Amino acid sequence: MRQMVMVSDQTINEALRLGTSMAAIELMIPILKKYGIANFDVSLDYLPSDGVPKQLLLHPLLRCKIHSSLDEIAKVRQMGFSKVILSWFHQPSQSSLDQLTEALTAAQEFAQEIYLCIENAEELTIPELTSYWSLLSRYRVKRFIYQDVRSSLEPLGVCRKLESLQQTVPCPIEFHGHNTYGLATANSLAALRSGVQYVAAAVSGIGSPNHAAMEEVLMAVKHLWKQDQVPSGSSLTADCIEILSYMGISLPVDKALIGRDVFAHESGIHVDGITKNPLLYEVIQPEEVGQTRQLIIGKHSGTASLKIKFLQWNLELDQAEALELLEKVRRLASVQKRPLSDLELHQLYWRRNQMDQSQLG
Amino acid sequence: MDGKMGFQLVDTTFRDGEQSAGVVFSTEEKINMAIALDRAGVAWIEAGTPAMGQEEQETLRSLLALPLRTTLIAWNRAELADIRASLSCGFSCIHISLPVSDLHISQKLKKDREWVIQQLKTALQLVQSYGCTITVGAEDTSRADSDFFLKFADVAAQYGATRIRFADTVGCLDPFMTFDRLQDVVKRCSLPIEFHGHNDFGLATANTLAAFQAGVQFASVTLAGIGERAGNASLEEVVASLEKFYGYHCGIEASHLGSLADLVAKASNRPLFPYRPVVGSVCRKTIL
Repeated sequence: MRQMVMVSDQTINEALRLGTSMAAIELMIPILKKYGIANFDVSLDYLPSDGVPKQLLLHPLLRCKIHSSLDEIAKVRQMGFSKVILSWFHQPSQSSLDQLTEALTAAQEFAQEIYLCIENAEELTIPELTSYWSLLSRYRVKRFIYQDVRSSLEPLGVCRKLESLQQTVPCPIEFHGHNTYGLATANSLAALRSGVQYVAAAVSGIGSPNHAAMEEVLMAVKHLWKQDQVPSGSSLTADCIEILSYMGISLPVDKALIGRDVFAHESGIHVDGITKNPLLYEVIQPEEVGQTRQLIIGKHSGTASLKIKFLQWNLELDQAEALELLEKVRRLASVQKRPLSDLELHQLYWRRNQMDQSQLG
Repeated sequence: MDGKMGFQLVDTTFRDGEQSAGVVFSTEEKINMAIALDRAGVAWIEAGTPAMGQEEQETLRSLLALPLRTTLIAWNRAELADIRASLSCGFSCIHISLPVSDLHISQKLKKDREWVIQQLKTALQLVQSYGCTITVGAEDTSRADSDFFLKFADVAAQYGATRIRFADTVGCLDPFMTFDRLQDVVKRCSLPIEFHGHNDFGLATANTLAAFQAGVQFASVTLAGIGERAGNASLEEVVASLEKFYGYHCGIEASHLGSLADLVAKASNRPLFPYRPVVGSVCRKTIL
């Protein structure tokens, strides 16, 4: 199971769907290229009608995804694409593959690389899928893209099916999962486990329908499977945030690995543990994805959290002081329905001390 | 590989969910969410931690006073003072949590395995004497020795616990590890197992489904997957997936999932990501 993980990026395609400017897309590409990107996939449907900049069209990793029709093939040929994904939706009633064969023949005339994607591959029986194998050989299809457009797969099924297919398919398989049920990352890992090297993914899983989250797939392989050929994640958070910002997308604060708060600790038990050894409550160190650990003081804090927080300011709280302050912290956090800022915490502490002084005086 | 019939979800939005950094629910919000969870068919709600203090206890008493079909559970460390706080609130279903990994036992508690077993016995004796329903949590099971987890479960069973929580506390399992590990322990465990997954690598839902396939009988979830760090397994994703992939209806009505997620999004001040599975705006129109 030691292998390269190559990503077919779907982020740029979502940017096109959202109408992101070409200038912004050109800025996104070099950032994404840091993460084992094999291809940038763009749908003909989303390309701007007023023309695609030559620089983007000629990008060596760009693939254009089209429906398998002569009309669309003529368009991508005219536009100058050399890598084409023919997308095909298998229907049991359709006995003839004439249309697909015609499309493959036409694509062969100009395309340097042809990929065949069956959008609903998951719904097909092994004999139905096998009926495509001769086309893959005849037209020298570079990879067969097994898409699960309706999110109909769960991980154990993905692994089982792809292991079986790889025994007969005449070219490498690429897995394209979707995330309607929250399983795309796991399904992509399952595909990798079966021996597939290429998986489709987008930053934070964006897309319509949505995809596997690129950062989750890569970091799971790197840290859970201990595969060190996966690119470093040390600038991952900043890179993902920058890419999404070009599309006007804000990340949820709890987005796995790259969300703002995924290395923030508030509950007393967790802060106490993190202070003793971060591994107690963190599966990876925040620096490994370009984040920093945060200590939040709020409703779920304990006395240990307060002592640690105040020690950072060179103030030592004894247990009685911490307990007294904790009660006020919890009350204020509940009233304002959010944690305390450092300033609010200072104010609570100094106000109490001033009261002590005045009582003494 | 179908999961056992009777697989049930334990909602921990108010306990593990609210513990996520920066989130505070008001009493009113908890009441509204508890009523909505109950109406949707959630059978178990981990309602909170009475040891947190008087204000929390007042909120928990308000929840206990509601006419709900669901069973409310109080979360406790295995400390007598914590348990007494839960009993005084009026809880009749008590959860006791202790770590089982050597990492947690040695570095967090500064104790040994024998101490953990003794502490569990002491805590359970107290709860048992009040005739409560007992559930036990084994923190950090995914990084623990399986045999020690099974011994811990045996002790819990001897003292009347009704289930044992297998916690993937730091979210370090993938679905294949989860399936292999749980298929083994389910066969050897003296208690029904509850899987408790975290989402650090985005795998909490997949791991929960793998646990279902391995034969566990319960799973912890939260609304919109809210929880420590990257959160817990999401109730919406697990409910929708169980129906989609295994045709299994866990008693929770899918038609309630959108409004439940909206409630927690508002109460936590965390708007739903449009691309969020099941309940985000991109997916919701497709499946709900």
